[in-house]
Formats: sequence, C-alpha cells, structure tokens
Amino acid sequence: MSTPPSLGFSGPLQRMRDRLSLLQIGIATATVALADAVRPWSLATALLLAIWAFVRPLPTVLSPAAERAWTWGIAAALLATIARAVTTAELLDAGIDFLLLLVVQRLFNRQRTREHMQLLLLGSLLVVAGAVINAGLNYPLLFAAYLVVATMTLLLNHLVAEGERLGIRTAATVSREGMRVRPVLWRAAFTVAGIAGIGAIVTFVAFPRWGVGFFLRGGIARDQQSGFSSQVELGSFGRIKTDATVVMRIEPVGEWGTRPAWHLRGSSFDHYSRGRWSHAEDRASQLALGLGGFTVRRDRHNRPELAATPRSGELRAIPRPGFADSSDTLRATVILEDLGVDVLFVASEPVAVRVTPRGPIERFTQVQAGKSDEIRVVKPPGPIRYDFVSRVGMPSQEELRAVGDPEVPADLVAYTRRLEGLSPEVGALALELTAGATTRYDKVAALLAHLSTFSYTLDLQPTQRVLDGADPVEGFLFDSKAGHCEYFATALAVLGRQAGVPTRLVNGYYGAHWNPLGEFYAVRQADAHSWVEVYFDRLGWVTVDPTPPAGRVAGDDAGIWPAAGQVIDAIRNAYLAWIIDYDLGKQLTLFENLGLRDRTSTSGLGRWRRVLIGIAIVIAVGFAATRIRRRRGAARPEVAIYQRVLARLARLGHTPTASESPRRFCARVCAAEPSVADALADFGARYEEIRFGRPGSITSLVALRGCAAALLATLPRRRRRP
Amino acid sequence: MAGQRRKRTFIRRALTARGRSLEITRAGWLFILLTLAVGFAAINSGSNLLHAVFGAQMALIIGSGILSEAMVRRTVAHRRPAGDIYAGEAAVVRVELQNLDPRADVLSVSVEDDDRIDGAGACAPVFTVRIPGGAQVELPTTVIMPARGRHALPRAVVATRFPFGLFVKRRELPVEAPVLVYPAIATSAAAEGDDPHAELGEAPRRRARVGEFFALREYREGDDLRRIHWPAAARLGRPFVREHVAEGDREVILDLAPGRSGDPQFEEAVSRCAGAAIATLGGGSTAVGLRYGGVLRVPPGSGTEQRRRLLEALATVGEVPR
Amino acid sequence: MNSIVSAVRPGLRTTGQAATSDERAGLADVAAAIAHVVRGKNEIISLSLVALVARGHLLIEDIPGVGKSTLARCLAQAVGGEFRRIQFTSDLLPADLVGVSVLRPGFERSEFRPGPLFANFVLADEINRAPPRTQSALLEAMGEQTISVDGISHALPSPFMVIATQNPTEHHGTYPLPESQRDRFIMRLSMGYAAADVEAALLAGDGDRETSVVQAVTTAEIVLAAQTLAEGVFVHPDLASYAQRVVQETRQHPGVRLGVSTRGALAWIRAARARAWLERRPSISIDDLQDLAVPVLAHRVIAATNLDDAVAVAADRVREIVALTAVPR
Repeated sequence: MSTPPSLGFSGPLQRMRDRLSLLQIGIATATVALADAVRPWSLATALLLAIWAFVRPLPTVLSPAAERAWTWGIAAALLATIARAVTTAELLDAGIDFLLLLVVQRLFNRQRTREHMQLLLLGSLLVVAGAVINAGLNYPLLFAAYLVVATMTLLLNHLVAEGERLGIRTAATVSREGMRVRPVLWRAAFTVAGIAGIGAIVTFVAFPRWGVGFFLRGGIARDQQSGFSSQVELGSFGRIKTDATVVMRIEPVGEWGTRPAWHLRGSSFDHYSRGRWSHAEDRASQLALGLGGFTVRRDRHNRPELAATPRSGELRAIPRPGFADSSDTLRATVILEDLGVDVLFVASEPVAVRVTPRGPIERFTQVQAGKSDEIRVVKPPGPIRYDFVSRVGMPSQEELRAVGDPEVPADLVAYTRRLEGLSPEVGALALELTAGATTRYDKVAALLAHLSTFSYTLDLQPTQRVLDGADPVEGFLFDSKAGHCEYFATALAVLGRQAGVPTRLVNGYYGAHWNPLGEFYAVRQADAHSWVEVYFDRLGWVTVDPTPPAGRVAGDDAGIWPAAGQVIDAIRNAYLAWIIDYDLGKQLTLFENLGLRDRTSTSGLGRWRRVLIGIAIVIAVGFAATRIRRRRGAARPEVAIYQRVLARLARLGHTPTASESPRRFCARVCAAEPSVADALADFGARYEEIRFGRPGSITSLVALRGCAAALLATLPRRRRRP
Repeated sequence: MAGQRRKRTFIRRALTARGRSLEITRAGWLFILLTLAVGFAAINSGSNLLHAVFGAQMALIIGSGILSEAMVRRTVAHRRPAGDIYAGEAAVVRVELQNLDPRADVLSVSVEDDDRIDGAGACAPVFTVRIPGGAQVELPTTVIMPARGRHALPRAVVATRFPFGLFVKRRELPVEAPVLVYPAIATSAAAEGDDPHAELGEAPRRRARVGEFFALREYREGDDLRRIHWPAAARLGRPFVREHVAEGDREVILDLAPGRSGDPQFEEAVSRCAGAAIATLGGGSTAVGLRYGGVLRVPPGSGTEQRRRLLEALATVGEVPR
Repeated sequence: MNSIVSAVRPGLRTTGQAATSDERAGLADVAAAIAHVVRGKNEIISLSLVALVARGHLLIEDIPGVGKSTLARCLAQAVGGEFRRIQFTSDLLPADLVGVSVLRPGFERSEFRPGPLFANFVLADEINRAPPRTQSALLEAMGEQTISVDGISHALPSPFMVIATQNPTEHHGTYPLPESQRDRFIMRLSMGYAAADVEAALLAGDGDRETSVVQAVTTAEIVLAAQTLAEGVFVHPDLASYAQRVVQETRQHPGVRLGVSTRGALAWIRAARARAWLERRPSISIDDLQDLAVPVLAHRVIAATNLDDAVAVAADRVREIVALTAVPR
C-alpha cells in the first residue's frame, strides 16, 4: 500500500491550525525552558530553525532526498543523544535537546495531519518533562494555556483530517465551514480544557499517593548562582547583590520572638590563595542520625549536640560550659529553591537538620556533613524542604574574653595556616594592629576596629597593585580601602590568621524579610553575604561580621513593587507547599478538613477503607442507574423527555397507573394542574404521536423537546402546601 | 493485513454495546499509551505535577468520550433516494441530518455505511462541521446498489471522531424503508442495429387508427385515404381527415424469458430488456409492454408512468432463489 | 381484472394524501347527519363509523325500540348507498337472503335474481330469530363478500356492511348466534336508552324519527377510498405487542373460558386504524386500542360464569384485563 499523496489543499483553517500548532509547541517548550532545563544555545538554535521553518513557504510534498536527509539526520542525532547520555550522564539535557530537534524536523514538514499530530505528541512529551523538572509557579499557568491551545489544535486537526479523509471537495468545505464556526470550536475547546483541568485537579487531590520510586528524577545540578560551590572566586558576589529573586522561605516553628536578622550559614572555606577560597581540609564534621528524624551534629569530641527533654520530648541543644546563651536555640522550616548547589542554609551554628521528603522519591535525600561544618545534601533537583535547629545565642564579651588566647588544637591548624602568595606587608599590618592585644577577642576586636574605617561599595576598580599581579585583598587593604562583604570578610580572615587567630570564611545569607501574607520570612538572592567565623576554644566557632552594617542588608526596595512582590512570594510559597509538596499527609489533612476522613482511624487499611467504600458506592449507584435507565428504555430521546416530565409530575404527586396511556395520564393531570393544562395535554398528544408514530418524522421531536422544556419551566417544583 | 483487520474487528466488537461502537484510531492508541506511561511515571515518582498531567489526560479521554456520545446521540439521520436508482450505477441520495437538541450544536459528524455489516450497496460518506441546535441539514451523496430489486439502502451509522480524532464513535441507525432498485440499463442494445427490438419482441405492426381521436384537418397530399372522414367531407365539400394522437403508431411488447434472479445470464437479459425499453420509450412514438414467461406483465403504453411501470416490473422479475 | 387493479390501486395511493381531507370531511358529515336523527348516541355513531371504515360489520345487541334500526338506516342514507332491511324470522331461508336462479321460459338459461343482500347496507333485524342455516348463509356472505349460487359466484357491492341486531332478553324460540359466528362482527354495540333529557326532547319533538330522511352527504366511492386509506395507518410494533399481550391475557384469564382469537386481534387493530384515521392521526395510539377493547373484544370472549348476563360479565372481564395490562411507555 503506497501512502496517499499529500493533499495540496491549504485553506484558512489549515493556516490557523499551523499557527496554533506552533503556539502549543512554543508553550510546551517554555515549560521546560523556564525550568532552565534547556541550554541557551540549543534553545536559540531551535528557535531560529523554527522561525525559518515557519516563514519559508511549505513545500506541498517533501522531496525523497530531503526525506532521506532528515531520516539520517535524526538517526545520527539519536545516536549522539545516546552517546551523550551514556558518557556525560546528562540524560535530561540530551533528551530535551533531541525532542527539540524532533520538533524542528516536524516543523519543517508539517503538510499532513499526521505531522501535526506528532507535533502535538512532542508537545505533550515536553509538557510531561516540564511537569518533572519545572517546580516554578509558571508551570500551572503554562499548563492551563497549553491545555486550551492544544485542545483547539487537536480540534482543528481533527476537522482537517476529516476533510482530508473525505476528499478535496469536502476539505475545502470543511475549511470554510470550520472558519465560520470558530467561536463554537473555541467554546468546545475551552469546555474540553475545562474538563481536563477539573480532571487534573481531582486526580491531583484524590489520587492516592504511593509509589516505589523506580525513576529518579534526572539531575540538572548546575552552578547558576555563584557563591556556594566548592570554590569561590573573590568578587563573584558583587553581581548578585541586586537580584531580588527569593531563594528561601523560612517558617518559624514554635516561639520565635522578633528576629529581624540572622546569619544563614551556607558554605564555609578554610583555604585562601590568590583571590580564591577553597577547601584544603578533607576532614568533615560528624553527623549522627536520631531524635525525630533529625540529623544531629556532633562536636569535636564526638558528642551529639542535641538532646530531647525526657518527658516533653522538646528538643534542646546541649549547653556548653562558660557560654550562658549556648542553649538558646531556634527551630524553623525552610523551603529552599534549587540553587544548583547542595548546601543547606542554617542559622548561625547548626545543631540538627531534618529534610522533609516530598514523596517517596526524596526519601533518598541524604544529609551529609560537609567540610568546615557545612551541611550538604544529596538530593534530586527542585526545591527542598527542611527543618533546622540552630544555636543562635552569642557569647557575651566577657565570656569571649575569658577564653584568653589558647593554644590552637592540632586538628584546627589548617585554620591558622598563613597564606602563601601574600606580600609581607599583610603580616606586618596584622601584627601592628594586634600589638597590644592579649586575648583572642581583643585581637579580633582590634582588626575589626581597623576594618571599620573602610567603606562599603559594590563598584570595584582593580588597583594598579592588583593589576600588577598582587592578591586582590592587598588592593583592598592598602589601596582602595573599599569593597563589599567578601573583601571585608577575606581581609579579616587573612589578617586574623597572620595574628594567629583560627578563622574561616563563611558564605550565606544575612537577614530576611517578613511576609505577612504567607507568614514566613523571605530571603532573597540579594541578601547573599560573607562573613568570618573565629574559633574560641570551648565556645566553638563564633560569627564575626566585619562588613559595615550598611552593606549587610540589601534593603527592602529590592523589588520594583514590594507589595506585589510579597503577594507573588506568598503564592509561590503556597504553591510549593500545597502543590509541589502535596503528599499523603497533606492529602489526609485535606480529607480530614473536608470531613471525608475520620482522624482516629490511622491504620493502613482503615485509612483507605472509607475511600474504597465510597468508590464502591459510586460504582454501585452508577451501575444501578445504568440498569434502570436501560430497563426504562431511555435509549429513545422522546422516552427520556417523557421520563423527565414524569419525574417532575411524580414530585407533585401524580403518577400514572400501569395501564394508563401517556395521553390519558396527561389529561388526568390537567384537571389537577389547571395552570399547565393546555401545555400538558399538548405534550401528551405530541409524545404519543412521536413515540408510537411512524419512525422518520423527526422534526416533531424538537417540538416535543421545546414543549417539555416549557412545561418543566412552568410546573411548580414542589407540591404547594394547601 | 488480514490479521490486523481481524484484530480491529475484535476490538470493535468488544467495544460495541447498545447500538454504539467505539474504534480507537492510531493517534488514540498513542495517546492512551502516553497516558499510561505518564500514569505509571506519576505513581512511581510520586511527582505531583505528573499526577495532574495524568489526570488531565484521563479527563481528556473521558471528556472526549462524553462529547462524542453527545454528538451521536443528538443526531438523527435519514437517507432518502433523490431519484431513480439503477443497479450498479451511482444514484443521488439525500442525507437528512437533524440535531435533536434544541440548544446545543452538533459538531463534526458524518453519516457512513456500517462497515461491520456486509450489506448490498455502498453509500459515500457525508460530513458536516456543524448542525446548529434543533436545525436540520441536508447533504447530497451517492449510492451504488449492486443488484436490482427491493433492497434496503446500506445500513448507516452516525459517526464522529469529535473532538480529537482519537476515537471513532458510531451509532447505528434504524433500518430505512427498502428502495426499489431498477435494473442496470444496457445501453449498447440501442446502438446495435436499426431495429433493436426485433429479437426481443413481436414485430411492430402498423395500426391505422390507434390512439385517441384528436381533430379533423384538411386533406393534404399523401394522406391515407382510409383516414378521410366522409361525413365531414360531405358536409363541407372538401376532404377532411381524422387526426389521432401519435401514441399508437407502433407497439412493442418486450418478451423476457423466465429465469432466476441472481443468475448472471438472466440478469443480463433483464438489463438488455430494460435498455431496450428505455431506448424505445425515449422515441416517444412507440408503446412498450412487457411479457414475462408468456404472461403479459405490463400492458403496452408510453410516457413516464409507463417507463416507471416497466422498470418496476423489471426490477422485481425472476424467481427468487431459495 | 388485473388491469383494473393496477389502474385503480396506484391512482388511489398517489392521490390519497390530497384526497384524505375530503374523505374525512365526508365521513364527519355522516356522523353529524346521523346525530341529527339519532340523538344522544354520538359514541355509538362514531363507533359505527369506525366499523364502516374498518370494513367491518356491526352487531347491535339491545332491547327493541331504542333506535337500532334507525341508526342503521341513517348510516346507509347518509352514505348514499343502497339500503335493505331484512327482518329475520324463524321461517327465513337462505335463498330469501341471497337470491335465486330462475329459469325463464323461452330463454335457454337460468337467470339469477339477486336477494336483498345485494345492497351496500343490510340491516339484519333480530338475527337470532332465524335458524342457524340462514344465519350462516348471512355470515358467509359477510366474510367472503361474494355469494355462490349454483356454482356461480356473484360479487356483493362495495362497500358492503351488515348491521345485525339481536335481542338479548327474548330467549324463547330463538337461535342465539354461536360464539364462533360472533367473531365475524367487528364490534358489538349496545344502544341503551337515550338519556333522560334527550328522550324528553324526542317526545316533545315534531318529526317522527322512523320516517325522517337523512340526506346523503357522501358517496360509496369516498367510503371505499377511506377504507383503503385507513389501512395505511401506522401501527407501532410496541403497540402491536401490547395488543398481543392483552389478547394473550384474555386466553389465560381464569374468569374467561374462551379468549380472543387471532382474527379478533386483527379486527381490533383494524378498528384502531380506522379510528385513528377518522381522528386525523397518522398512527394508532394506546387510547384507540383501549377505547375499542370492549366493543371489539367483549363479544369474542366467553366468560366463565353462571350468571344470566354473560354479556355484561364478558365486557367486565375485558375492562379488567385492559386495566391490568401495562401499557408501553
């Protein structure tokens, strides 16, 4: 069987379908593109090719040579994709690139209905991919738009296909007619999309959440926002200081009081060389599992830092001697956007962390101890939700002084390592500044005092010294005496080490913005910050922030329209909490709130028993209704109409006897319902005429329907009280 | 191909109930597969958005079923022949499509032959994009009936692929009243010779005064003397002749040998007979009758009514094989 | 013969639709004309019209003097057909009905002298007075619409309708129609006394109804066409099966000794068709069947009863069966 030649017919309907096809594939691509799952160059290439395919005149039939070329090209691309997936493990990237290539290929040959159908299929594949990787608020909006557009495209495609199936003359008629009834078609498309949307919501809400998790979501881990990877280039922070994107939402757990600002600790580094911070130590701190799913950090002596109160089960940090506020802890739930790094941000000094898995797939999420007390996590892409307990109390000045200037323990020698590559001037400056200090606190205080004379700026010009090859921090210390948080922190860390104080650099966020709508604290990209931690022996690592207060806070004016920003933040938070993180627990909570489920029954079977019974009842009722309908012979339209009228009359207390003909019954009721007597008698006569008349007199059925509608409208709904 | 056909009919049969049948198109299978895959992935991964996508796809399938059901339920169709139907020849059939619902539109329905029933004849499908609520449209199409006689038109179904072309839903329509299919007209007979009827019927014989009296007119040179109306001629002093209606000029009785209907030879004879009848009647001056197996079935006559009578008789002659 | 059929039938059929209204109007006039003379009996009149259109014969069973003969005469006069009245007596012979062949002197062949049955409307008064032989001659003529005398069949005129009356109370010296013979009448009607006011008006009235003449308002041809057209009224299969169920029930009902025959069921449907046609409906309805059940079926049913009034019991049985049989919805 040879394929039929492609129909050369192209009418307005075909052009409209063409445009809609492109639109739906565009929306579908957007769902993945907005999740940053497409490399810019491949997106740009695909876009250019798509435009070319669209503006060039479409050949009526694809030449065999071109067809062969495309086939070979696709085969080669498939091989390349497989190779790429195997060698670089970029399965998702490779897959999406391949999908885009297929899209482009289809766009170049979209003469027939089949190709448009394939475009729709590719579109739906992209949308499915988007569902996996796009956790953004844009997805539901795009999905809604996609449903409508794709439905309409399907409709048009179907009409064109019918035209093609029935010959070119019909095709022309269909094209013309189809354009004429466009509003009707749009209405149908919206209806169907609405049905699909409702189906999506119902399935989403009610579908039981179980799963075994064979398919892990592919990784798109990528360092998009610099600052928290395993190496940090000095100066890279500057450009994110104006970015108002919300990266974290912090919901307080328990009593909190007002805490306008904290240091949210992210990555931490011990080695500095030529303007670059990195990890030198291999040693990671110790973590232990326990206490309500929390991963608890161990101190240097391998003792857990968290304990539960025996009776109430309340979590509290183990106090440290000589540190009055050491048991002052804070607990919060955090939703962290996918920053492309595996660091968890926790306030000040973390004690314990617990990741709340969303669905079975995230049960595999593992909290790991990083170097320099970082907390890292192995997780699939997408936002992550976790709880943390942190020590937020600060030792007092007296407590810090009381530590004195103790010997640095052997395992912390790395943090006092003088940094090579620096000019001796730096060491001299450190010694000069800390000359009179006897305690570690005094040394740090002297250095801070020196740095406080520096000014804060984001506008940095490299000085001559730096251009000649010196370390950037020297330029900051001796020439410009101005910079941003990274320079201040690096300078303090470097000077401290020259003076024998164990220091390390910490990158994270400082401060948060209360969102009263969503009742959470929002942390923005612009809140990124760097500071220093100094080791005070038995008190542990203490946060020291050398940046002038003016430079710490990005300020609330970051958004163009703060109020709107707050609303969007709140919606996004709710979306993440209730849509993306919707799980069995939330489902049960929802059912409980809706009164569908008894809170007390929690056993595995009991939990679903009601749902199962409900489903069984629905099926049984549906089955019974079908049977009754069938027995009544409702297959005939006129009988269905009569049954409706009968049902209404039954409510008014009129039922026909077994041997009463419809006409006679109506006549009898006429006497009781004088208001509708004429309409009823007319209906009875019409009904019998149609029901027992010669088949084929079809026009009267419409009249009967109208008659019944008028009758039902005038009949009282209930029996009037006498 | 045969295997595929069998499979298709099997699935169709499985999906047939209450006068409806459902066929899943290729695109439909693909869509179902995709839906299953998404559902599987949703359950496996626990991804909430995949659940939503899966739900939307399921709802699309269900919604598509509901919509197509609404379309076929609202539609009533009748096929009515719009003229004479000759065996083996395309004849025009009017398809009346009526939307029973006074408000809602019917979109994209076609009326096709029920391909599950191997009935006689084939009717070309018709398609309409929209029937407004309560309205009726009439679409012409053609039918080819293979054999003469009284036959029902091919069994029709209202079919729709609405809304997406993923499924074809068909609703059976009641059997229409049978139509009379005239025999095929063998046209070659007329061209065979000058007197094509010689072998078929009795030799034509002249009859001087057959037909009704029409008028008197003056005698002209060459008129048959026997037609002179003597009383008038005597009264008026000039010769007058009687004029008669031309009908009775010639009379042909076609003779058809008995046979069994369905027998190719007999059918051919019927066709030739029909061809001869049409050709002879076409001249207008010959009365044609039909004798079958020695019995005069149609007395001679002319005109369109006679043509119908002859064709009706020829449509049903022959023993029906048991 | 053949040519006549082919000439007349198609003509009737093709012009039928156009002519329908005329025929109906003519028959409506018949009803009005009769009602002018036979007062207060509209239902009986319309039933007798139904019988006429259904090509049926009527059996009127009632006491004397309530207008049976007047009804039959008026019907015949209004239609304009030939009317004969035959008073059945115990010495009435079949030949008195159908006619005889007489041998004319001088002619070498016999000549048929038709009897009183050769008319469009025949009133067979007090049919139960005649002996069974005579009765069956009449019934045969009714069934066949032809009469055979000396091996030659003579066609009776068309339309042909027999209106027989029977006196139920006089049992002495009578030969009641056997049940199987009653089947030949499409309906049995009972006149009943006129309503009080109608009777009073009648008594006060001037005209003698025995002699009052009804003008012919229609013709036998129109009646024939009406009979043909009424046969084209549609019967829905559901209603046919409903009728079958009712008939079946009469055969199974414990209070009935002999149920309705298939001929009875056919007559029922034919009567329903005629009624629907007269009421300008293209198809029969449940009401047609139900309303005609007693007139058409009751005399075909033999009730299992010892009561004298078996006729009334049979009618009750039929009413009961109709009331119990579920109608199609």
